[in-house]
Amino acid sequence: MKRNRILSVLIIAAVLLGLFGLRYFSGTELRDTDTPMVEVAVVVDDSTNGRWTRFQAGLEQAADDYDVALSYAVTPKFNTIRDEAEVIRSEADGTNAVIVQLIDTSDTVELISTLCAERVLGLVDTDAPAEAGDNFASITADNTAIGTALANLLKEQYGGELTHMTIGILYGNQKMRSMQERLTGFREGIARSSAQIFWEGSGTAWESAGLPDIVIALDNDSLETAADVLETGEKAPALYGVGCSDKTIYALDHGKIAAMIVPDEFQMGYLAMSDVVARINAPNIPMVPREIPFAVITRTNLYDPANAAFLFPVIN
Amino acid sequence: MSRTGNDKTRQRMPLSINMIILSSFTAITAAAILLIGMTLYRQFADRARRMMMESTEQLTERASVTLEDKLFSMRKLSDAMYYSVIKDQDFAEGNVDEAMNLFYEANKDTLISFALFTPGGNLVSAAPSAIVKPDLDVTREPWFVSAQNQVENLHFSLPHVQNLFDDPNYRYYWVISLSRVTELTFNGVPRSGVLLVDMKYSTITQMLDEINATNSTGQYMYLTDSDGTIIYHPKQMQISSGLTQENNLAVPDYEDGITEETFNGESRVVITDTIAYTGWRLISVIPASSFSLTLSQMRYFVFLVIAIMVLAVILINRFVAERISRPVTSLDEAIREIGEHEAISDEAFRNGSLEVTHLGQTLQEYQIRNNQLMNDVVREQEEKRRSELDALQSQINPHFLYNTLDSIVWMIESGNSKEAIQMITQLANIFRISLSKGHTIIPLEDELRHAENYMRIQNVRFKNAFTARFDTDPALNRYSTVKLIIQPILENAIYYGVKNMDEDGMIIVRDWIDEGVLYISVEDNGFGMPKEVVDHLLDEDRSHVRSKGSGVGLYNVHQRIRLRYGPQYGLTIESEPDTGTVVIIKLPAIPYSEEMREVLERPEGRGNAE
Repeated sequence: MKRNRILSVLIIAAVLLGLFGLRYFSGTELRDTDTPMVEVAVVVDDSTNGRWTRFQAGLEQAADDYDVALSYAVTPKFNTIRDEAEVIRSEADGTNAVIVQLIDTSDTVELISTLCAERVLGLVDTDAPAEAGDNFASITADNTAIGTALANLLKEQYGGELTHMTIGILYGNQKMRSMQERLTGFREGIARSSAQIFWEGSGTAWESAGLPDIVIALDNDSLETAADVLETGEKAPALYGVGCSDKTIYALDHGKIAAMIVPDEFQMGYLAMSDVVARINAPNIPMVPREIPFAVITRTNLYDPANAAFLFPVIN
Repeated sequence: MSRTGNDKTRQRMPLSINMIILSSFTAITAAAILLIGMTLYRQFADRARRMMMESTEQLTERASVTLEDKLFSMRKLSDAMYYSVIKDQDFAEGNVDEAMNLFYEANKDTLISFALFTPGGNLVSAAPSAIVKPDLDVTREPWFVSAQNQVENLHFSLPHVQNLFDDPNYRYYWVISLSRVTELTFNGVPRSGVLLVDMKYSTITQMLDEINATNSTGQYMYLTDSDGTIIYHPKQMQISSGLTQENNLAVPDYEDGITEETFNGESRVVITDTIAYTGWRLISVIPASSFSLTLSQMRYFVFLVIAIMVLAVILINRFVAERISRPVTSLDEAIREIGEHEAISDEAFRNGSLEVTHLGQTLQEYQIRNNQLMNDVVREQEEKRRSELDALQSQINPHFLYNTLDSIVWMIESGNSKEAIQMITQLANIFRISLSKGHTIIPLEDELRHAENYMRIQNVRFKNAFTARFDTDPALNRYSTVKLIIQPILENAIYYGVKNMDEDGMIIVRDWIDEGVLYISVEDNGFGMPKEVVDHLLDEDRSHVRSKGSGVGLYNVHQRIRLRYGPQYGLTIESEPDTGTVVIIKLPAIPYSEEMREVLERPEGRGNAE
């Protein structure tokens, strides 16, 4: 009798154990629906700037796909990396991951290391120094290639040699490695032509240095400013640059910008989010830096379906 | 050898019938439940799959109808604008701005704009009022070209960003353009024109988004044109960015209805429906994982039910197993508990099955018969013991008689007739007590008298060479004793103790009771015996003991007492060379009465003296 009881208890225990095991291993759909969501904070410079519209759309789409609670911090234009670091630390508190764009990549090894140690880190539009390691997601465009592509665009539009053409370069924030690379790429690309670099500067540099034949703006803000300020007309310089905001697209559409290079910032936002989520779910998988594509947009191909898809994102 | 030993130790312990029934029933029932459960689950899974496909097909059809309604309403709107407003208007005299604005205001939830163009691409009228982009050549726009190419039709474009009006707020709108060639009257002369109705693309995306949002199992719906170009997809941006893919290019090859396909290694079911007039295709996709996901809850439920049923079966089987095995178990327990010479009772198998009752009855009969046989054997053994006892007792009589008669002969030969007469009288007394009417149990008083008579005879015979003294307690005279147990000891004390002593020998007989035991001691101050002789005097085989006598008398007395009362009684001998010997008789202290004598003399009364 005693053996029977023991056997019965053992069978019942085994069945119950099996049920619990089945419930445990039967997938997430059977698990509690109130499992806390992954929380990801995003800190970029001047976050309400129109240049982030497509990036933000990508983030939101990925957050929806991966069931992430997205916290997109409203930030001013940072003056120093220290200001930005403070905001990052404040916004990242209590989250599983943080996606940031650093305005100064010259001395950020320690900051990146600290952020990596505390939580999953995603860097966007930031070419981190090699000393920072690779323990973070890095999604950026090939900025050297963007600079080169911009030079090639000029050559294509001005017949190859750019003879007697003067170029003014608005190089943006040169504390950022990405801007340095764009400048380097452009210089190298244009070096094999007859064009002359008339000046290099930021803001409205032409006011002091004079108007060249062509103004190149290497970042969205410079391009917007140039499109706003520069007069159009026969003697006005042709404006080229790198942009991605509605304003620059509008300027392109209205002929104020001759052509521009648009990185696929929707993809940058989407991949940044999907990569940090993947890292959260599998902390041991190595993180591979990703490069997003870019397109050369002119007034004539602005409404091509392929370009329209990423210039004017449709968010479901 | 050790291996054989191990094999033996590895032999399984036999299982109880209860355990065998429980485990067998449980295993069979659990297997049956599992089989039935899995079969039902499979049938349910197939049915659920069919139902899911049917419900998705119905949902697709409903969505298709809704979409057709939306597109139809756009066509109706275009028709209304054309036939009610434009066709009646002579544009040389006025315009249709007001009417167009009214139409726009009434439908601005779904519309971005109305616009009417001349064949050369000049704007005739638009609502809401807007400025056409400078440098824009409308005639090269796809919707304009489509309208001009097939003038009799209304043309729905693919979704595109409206490239028509200037919006200083940098806003761009995704639209689906409905264009048609219209007849414009100028001064009574009809000319052609193009009417454009730009419908909000979000009208379609919101509708399909809502449908897709209701599905949590991975199903989704997307829309393509007849060539497979995506018009709407829940992951449209991911697809255009190359982050994900869709099998949309295969859609033109699919007939309306259910098609199974494999895409990116995943098998899935697609349900296609064609939207009237446009030729667009609405596709519902059910990935294989979607079926699995839908069934996962059911799977868990089935396992839960099976588990509960198995648990219930275990409990029921326990009850059934106990009920079935109880008669056998009871029979088994009854067999374990019955004592010697007993048989199992009817209770042990009364409520059992036919087989168990038959087995119990057979066992009961067998045990009764066996007990009878055992009783017969015991009785025979008793008879044998009794015969042996009688034989032992009879060993005394010739021995004593021989010695006494020898003394009497000696007295007569020496002329001591008076003493011979006295001795014969005492011998007669001895025989009277010896006979005791055939009783074996007599009062201690008679036994002591018998011993005294014997000692008197021996005193005469040995010419008072020793003294016999009886220090007995008269209060013990009415206790029971086996007859003729003191005399052989006295005989030994005389012959091997005091007979050949130079000085006066002394034999003292005492009796007493201690803790329910009657002790009678015979003590002499004779030669005594060494310990090794004493130790083996009461052995059955005394051949290896070298002593003066054979010890037959002591052994006989010892055996008679033990056979009568049990092994805890009998003789104890203490002796030391040149000091003397004490023989103590140990008997149960049982008061003598006729009833007690009868009890003690019965065979079953033996050995149970206490």
